[in-house]
Amino acid sequence: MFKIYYYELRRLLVNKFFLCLLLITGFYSYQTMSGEIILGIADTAPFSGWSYGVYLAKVLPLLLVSLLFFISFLYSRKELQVKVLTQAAPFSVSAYRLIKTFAITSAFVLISLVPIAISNWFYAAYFHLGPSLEQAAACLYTLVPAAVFILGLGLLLGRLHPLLIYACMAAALVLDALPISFDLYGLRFLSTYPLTLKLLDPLFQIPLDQLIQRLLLIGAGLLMILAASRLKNSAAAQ
Amino acid sequence: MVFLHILFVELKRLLISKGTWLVMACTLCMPLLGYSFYTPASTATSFSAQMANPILAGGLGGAFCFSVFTLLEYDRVNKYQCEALMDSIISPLIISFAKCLSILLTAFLTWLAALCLYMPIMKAALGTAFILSETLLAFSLMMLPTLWMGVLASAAFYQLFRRIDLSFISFTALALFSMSKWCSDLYLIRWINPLVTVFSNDFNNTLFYRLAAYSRLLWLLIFSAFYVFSLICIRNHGLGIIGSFRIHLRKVYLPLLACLLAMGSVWLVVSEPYIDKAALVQEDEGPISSGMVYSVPADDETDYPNIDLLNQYVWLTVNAQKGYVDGNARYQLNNKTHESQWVTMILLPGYTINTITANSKAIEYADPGLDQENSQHPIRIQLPADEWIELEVNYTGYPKVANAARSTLIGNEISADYLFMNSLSILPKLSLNEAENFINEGEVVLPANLELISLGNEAAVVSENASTKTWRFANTSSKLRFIAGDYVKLAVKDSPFPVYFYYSRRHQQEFEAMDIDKVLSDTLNYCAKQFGLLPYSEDYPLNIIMISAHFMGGGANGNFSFMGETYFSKENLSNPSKGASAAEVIAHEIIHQWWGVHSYLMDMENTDWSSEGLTVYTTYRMMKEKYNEAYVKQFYIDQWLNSLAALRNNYFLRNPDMQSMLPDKYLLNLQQLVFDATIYNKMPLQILKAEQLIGEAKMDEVLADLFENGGTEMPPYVTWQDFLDACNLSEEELTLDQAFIESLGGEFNV
Repeated sequence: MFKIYYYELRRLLVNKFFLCLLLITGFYSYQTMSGEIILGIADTAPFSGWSYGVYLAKVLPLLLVSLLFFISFLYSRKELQVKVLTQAAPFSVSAYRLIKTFAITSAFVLISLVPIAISNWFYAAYFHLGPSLEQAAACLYTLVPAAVFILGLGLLLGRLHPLLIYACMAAALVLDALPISFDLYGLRFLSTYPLTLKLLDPLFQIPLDQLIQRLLLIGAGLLMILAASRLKNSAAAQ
Repeated sequence: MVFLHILFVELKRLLISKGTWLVMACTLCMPLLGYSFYTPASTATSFSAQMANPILAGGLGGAFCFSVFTLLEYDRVNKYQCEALMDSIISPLIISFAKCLSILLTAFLTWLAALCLYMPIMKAALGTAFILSETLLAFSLMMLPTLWMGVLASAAFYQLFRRIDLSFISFTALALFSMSKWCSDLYLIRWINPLVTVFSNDFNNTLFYRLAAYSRLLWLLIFSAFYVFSLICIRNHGLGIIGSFRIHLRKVYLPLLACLLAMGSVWLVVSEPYIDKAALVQEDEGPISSGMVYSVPADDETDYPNIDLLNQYVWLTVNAQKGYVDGNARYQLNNKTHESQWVTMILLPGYTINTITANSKAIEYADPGLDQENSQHPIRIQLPADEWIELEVNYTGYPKVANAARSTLIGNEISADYLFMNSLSILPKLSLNEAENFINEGEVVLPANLELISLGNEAAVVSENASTKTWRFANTSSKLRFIAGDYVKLAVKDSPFPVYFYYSRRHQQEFEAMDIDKVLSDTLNYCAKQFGLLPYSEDYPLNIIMISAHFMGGGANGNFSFMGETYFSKENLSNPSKGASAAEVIAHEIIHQWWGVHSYLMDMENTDWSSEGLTVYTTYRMMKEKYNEAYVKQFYIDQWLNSLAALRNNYFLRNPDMQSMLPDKYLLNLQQLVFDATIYNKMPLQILKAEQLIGEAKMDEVLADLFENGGTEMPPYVTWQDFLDACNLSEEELTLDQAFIESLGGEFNV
């Protein structure tokens, strides 16, 4: 099982497109941190949970494009061609799919470490500060719900038609520019909510309605993952 | 002949390939991104929104499309493993060159298709404002070369690495570098995204075309050199890069051509003609806020108190087409020292001295070759020991933009139908005392289509022929400024003194239909009623001038009040919800004629006290009278309070110890934030508090008195203490305390 996981992960990571995404993400992360974040967001310190959250929310579209790119591997022509062989192997199809999903998640976590590492270096170099709990909370708030939601959406769309994954990538990139109130990355909340608290340097906190929204996103993501696997099963049965 | 045949076959092959059509279609879609997602040029003008941005997006996106296409085409032989076969039939150099040329031709055809597709769209969107020549120039300079550069760079990278992935990553890295903040204000380095701040609707955009043409030429040379170098690295006879390199080196013309192209690009960098080489000074950086005023009425200090400048006369020929100036300046001096003196003469960077004579004898001068801040290039000249000296200077050159303004490109402009020139671009300056009855006059030859507006007395045509007009101008101050263009001159009716409004002829229909006259006369009458008349006459009228959008904001200088065209757009003038950010800028710049030009505000101890604060306050009062209390509360008082709150709450300003951890460039941003907030927001609030303490009527009296009589502490300046004394208030009483802020509806603690 570990061997399959290792090779699946390697297939995702040892890849020219991954290298390209890595470079672009690193470059964009540095630009965002040194351009928009260093003077602080909403009158808070640049290393506050709010500023850090905005930083991650800004980089998130690129990370989600990477995640969708990993998902697109599952539905590539080559993958479908070897499907006959993998299904003939003496190994549970569900377990194999679970391992693949886990490998995709691991690859996403690895590429997410790039902006996190850059921010840590930045804070250490300029402000002589290490990571904080607030930053960890901001990380959980921004990355996890959006990633689970997009993972589910990507798996489901890929099951319907592989090309829809690429449409989803484009949507992820332009989502914040669209005049809709769907705050998937949490950017609007993170940059305006601290100003409404009427406090100087407010602690990072998430109100109940936001918490419910984020949990709903995770729930919707998990449901879509389940739906994608059910769809697959029924298709296999046919 | 063989090469032409191969080129024809290759081009034909490309044009019947579905992949080519797909790339062409993708490139044709790219300008659409410029209407919404990629808008590097300010969308304040319709030319920017409807023309510049789509074309820039087309160039950027098209370069990526053609990069991918080039890599795929170059990799074709390798992919199908027929390299050995191809090499046995034809030289890899010839096939590479033919392939490159055919892709370049395909890019040209795509560009032609984009031109045919988008030009009617732009024409429909811009209506009568559409100008064919501008559109063609923009397409030619900002899209086509970028596509070609994408092809050349990708082909070169591929020939070097022989791998699509590495080549594409290298290309992307190069493109991202050009788009990064490191290159944001360096027009020469921006190869894939030419620097365009805003396109003017009413005047031309020659400035940007010149810069784009120069940077395109440079990068085409660089990429051509790179491409020729990569030809030397083409793998041959199954050898690696070094072996192939050795073999191709025998074709001497290849390294020679690469060297020539590289040297050409180095020469272009070294002799860059548009931006001066002054070292950046910290205070000059940062964003330029609208409403800035250029009048600095203080007499320039001089190191030569015993030499007087009696008068100066300049004969200037402006080659507007080429942006070139040829001048002859004569200065009459009284050297009371009766000794030979070395004095400083300041040139505009980009100008060179041809000859200098004093009393008809050539004199020595030393040019250290250093540009300095504020667009100055000082040289030293040796005056003779004579008491009366007639100094004659012949000079020529192209005016350069100050290095500090390289991101905004605000500066002198000389183009075929628009001219914006300040003192130094008209004639070199001698840092000497102006004698009493000093006269500054001259003649300037301009193209016949340009109407000259000169600082000082009204310029008049003294002679003309079919292509040029000679204008005579005069001013009693050493400061000069020329603005010229295809202007309509409107005498403002119901104004308290002679006022002319000059606006672009392209706006004529629109302005005749709307009441622009009233916007101007309302402001003039309000200020004249409140503070008194200004000393303007028919010979020396006040000129309110619409200038190009390239000059962001506006300014006041002598009898000039000028503003960028964006403030005169129909929606700005007719929409009161635009508030203080739009139509009222016109009023603001006119009010500067009272505060800033004809009365000088300065305080050595309180640097917040400047003409800006009082001008903003006066605009507020005028709008309060014109609209109502709620309007000024929303667009003035609330804005001031918000700005002050942002200042007070800023993390780094609250924690000064943290500032030391910030790099200098970020500290400059903070300084700019503080400067804008105090000058434009804190000071008007303090004046408002004074008004609340003494009453509106009394404040009007105080201001009228200060305008009429000036200050007493440091005449002729009106100082902060003069203002406090006139109001009979102390500085402590004007502190912005909690009670005052809260009485205005603001929040003090946060």
